[in-house]
Amino acid sequence: MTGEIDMQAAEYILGTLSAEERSAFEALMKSDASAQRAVEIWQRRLAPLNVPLGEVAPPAHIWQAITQALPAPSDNTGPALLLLRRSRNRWRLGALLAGAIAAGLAAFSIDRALIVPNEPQGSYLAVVNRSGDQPALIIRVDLATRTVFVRPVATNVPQGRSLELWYIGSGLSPKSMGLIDKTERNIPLPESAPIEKANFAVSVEPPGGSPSGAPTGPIVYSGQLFKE
Amino acid sequence: MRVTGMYGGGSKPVSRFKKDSRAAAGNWTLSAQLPKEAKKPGCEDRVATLTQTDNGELVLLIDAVAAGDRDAFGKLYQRTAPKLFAILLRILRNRGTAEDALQDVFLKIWQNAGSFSAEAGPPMGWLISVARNRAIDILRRKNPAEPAATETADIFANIADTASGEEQMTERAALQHCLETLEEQARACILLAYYEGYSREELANRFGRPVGTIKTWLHRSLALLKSCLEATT
Repeated sequence: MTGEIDMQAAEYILGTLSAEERSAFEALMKSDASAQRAVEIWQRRLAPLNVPLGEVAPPAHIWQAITQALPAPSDNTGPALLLLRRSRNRWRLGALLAGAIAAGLAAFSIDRALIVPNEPQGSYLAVVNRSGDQPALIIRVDLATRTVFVRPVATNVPQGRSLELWYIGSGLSPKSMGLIDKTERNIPLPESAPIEKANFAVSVEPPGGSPSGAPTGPIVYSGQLFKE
Repeated sequence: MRVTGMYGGGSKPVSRFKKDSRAAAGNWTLSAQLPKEAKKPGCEDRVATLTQTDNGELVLLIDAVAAGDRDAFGKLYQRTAPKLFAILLRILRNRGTAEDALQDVFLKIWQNAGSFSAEAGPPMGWLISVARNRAIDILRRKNPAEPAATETADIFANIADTASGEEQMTERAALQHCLETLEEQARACILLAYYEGYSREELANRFGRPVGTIKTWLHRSLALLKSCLEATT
């Protein structure tokens, strides 16, 4: 990217561009991925400035006004949306597991693991962040339908290798759940697989996956299933 | 906590599946057991502050909002509106304007949740961008801005204060340090712009310099910040 675009991106985030310059730069961002990327980087560079601002509870009428301004709910939301909604409801019945896979796997570290009380019913969401970033991979397990929902968020597959997901029931051999790439997948849990103390793990494998049917490479992430 | 994986650091042995024995259908040893790590004392405390709120859950909420989920939208609002409102209040300096802007911001979030990409950056950063963009658009259309009710001179000194939680401390400490390396007036320009929404013209008035000089100051300061941050982090 040129220095000029980078400076415009910096001033865009800083807020010092004029109205015309802002509009022009927003138009540029739509067509120029490097401008878009520069803005994202500057946003992150200056984001810590917001930390000392703390929080201020907005008055209750704001939320009312927002909900009133929303379009009326429609039943005609299409199958993809319905699927998402159903799966969201199922999380409450099931368990959630989120994992992180290192970008490029060059220096993998997990800085934090948090458990957040998610619902009054007592289901939990676990998230591991890599250096405070977004999780690379989210794995949701729905115990009711015995479905594993794999959603790569920022998964980086090391060049020339494959990442393979494994289900490991307590006392059982790892069972391959397939390769992880950029696409979301629903995978049925292995038949009669015990959920108690089940683990999921991701290993680095040769292209196309483990040749032996068992993990051969380093594990870059593993986590145990939470019981509600 | 820090769990170092395969190639990290070099000092820690590479984690691998280890089969202990062929008996008992195989016992498999795993590295980095998530629940064990997550249940360490102290983790629960960190959940309390918003900025500590795990990015992953915000990603899920934004995804659900993109699918038209109003419950998720309500939760997202509960989670993030106080932070966004604080930012809007600071930069717009007018409560009524900030309240209107907060409505606009959440309607935008509702409409544009589908365009959020977790790969582009953390979800809170995206939400803050929506809020700041709205605020700056409002300020740039209005002339002149209301006078600053507060001073920004020392607020940046609290960026890395642990009272605001400890997440992303490396980035916070780096920014605070790099801002400190700037000359005082150059730093004031950056802070007045970010916190109070000052335009170049307003900065020019404030410092009694031509607009062109202010632009030069800003570019020089931003370039210095960039190289300092890249060297520090």
